[in-house]
Amino acid sequence: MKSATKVIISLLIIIGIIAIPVIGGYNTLVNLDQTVNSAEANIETQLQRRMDLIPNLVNTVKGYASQEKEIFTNIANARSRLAGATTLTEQAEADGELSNALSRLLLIVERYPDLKSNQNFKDLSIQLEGTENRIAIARQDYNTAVTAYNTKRRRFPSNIIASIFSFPERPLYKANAGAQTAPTVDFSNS
Amino acid sequence: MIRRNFKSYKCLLSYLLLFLILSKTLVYGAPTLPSPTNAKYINDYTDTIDEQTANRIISIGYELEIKTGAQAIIAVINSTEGLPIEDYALKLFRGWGIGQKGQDNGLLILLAIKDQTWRVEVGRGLEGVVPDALTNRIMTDLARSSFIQGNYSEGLLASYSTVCDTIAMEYGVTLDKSLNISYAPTSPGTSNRQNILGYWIVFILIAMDLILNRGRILSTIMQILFINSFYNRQGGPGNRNGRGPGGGGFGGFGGGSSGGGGSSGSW
Repeated sequence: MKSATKVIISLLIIIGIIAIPVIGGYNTLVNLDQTVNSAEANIETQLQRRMDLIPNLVNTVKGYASQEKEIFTNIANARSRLAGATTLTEQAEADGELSNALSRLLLIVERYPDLKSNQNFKDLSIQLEGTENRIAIARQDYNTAVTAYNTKRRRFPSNIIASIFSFPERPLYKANAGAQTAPTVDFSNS
Repeated sequence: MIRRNFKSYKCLLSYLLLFLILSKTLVYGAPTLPSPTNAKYINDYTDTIDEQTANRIISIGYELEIKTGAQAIIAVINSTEGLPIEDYALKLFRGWGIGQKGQDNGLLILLAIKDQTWRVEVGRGLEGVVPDALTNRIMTDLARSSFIQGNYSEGLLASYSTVCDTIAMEYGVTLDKSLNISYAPTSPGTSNRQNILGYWIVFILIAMDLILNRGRILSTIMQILFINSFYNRQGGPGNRNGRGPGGGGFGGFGGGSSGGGGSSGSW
């Protein structure tokens, strides 16, 4: 009887010794995974913010440059593609397209001095610029979070826990080559 | 022997990974960030701002922080050394931890004299109060012409004072030390509605835990929170026990962060 309790107690201790790092590792993985999730949500918030800005900007530009039809169609197409994107890769592609179309929109401004000095347009393009900057930062933060998570997931003791509880590898956000530079507007000559 | 090789291979791999991560951050952070000065609110590393203006800025910034908790900081540097000013401002903002932790109510006006560029970096908590377009308007209307003339002190004081007034207005206070430039701000920030239902659910759960479970879950949560906060205090940039300003008597920065709000421009 006495030896049986001894066995039970020692078993419990062994289980405890095994369980504590498992719980710790599991919780760390969950924390890192949540950081990735919130970073991803942050990117989406900023992308949505830009999506909401675009109609206003397009309408303002249309008032001055209605003949630039091709650019408006490009923006509309890219915008609907981004809205329909489900995976992160699709999103990145559609987003790159949208960024290209937007930068072309901001380039034609040079030909319309009235538009360039319009206060509403100025404010909108500054907001757009700010949003592009936020998107860029949200992506940097996302990639930092993903790197931390994936590293933890593949490192030795925690990789066992990751495979037992099936923590999937998270993809890094790779922007298109053209999408890396945010469009900038220069008002210095206005 | 094979085992040993495998081990060293793995070791090499992890070193390589570490090196890659570090080198990536190092490439980004090529210019080393300056440490905050004792004046806290105005960090002039170029000696362009005269003492009278600096003192005025300090008194406005101090009053703003006392009354609202928001931290508005100025940094004047020579050059970002090739880094885009947006990246430099973000690094400085996060590195110093401007604004209170969790509230992110910090604001940074960064001037690069030699590059002739400025950036206003707004913490997440102030984005509603100080929208990007407003920061740009304030800087172009109140500061740009002074900057062009080389009168940095005047332009900086006018824009700083206006930004601080805007923040103070949102908190429902007025600043006695500011210049009180009448400048129509754009639409006020949105007040965030709180989810009352969520609070009720939490309350009921806690009550159930206390009655049925003698509060075991609650105490565990408290312990976890305590341990977490302890770990959080250990590392990370921009915390209280970092390189905060020493003799100024203003206290350090609060560990706030920024999500890239604000605007930038040149003169």
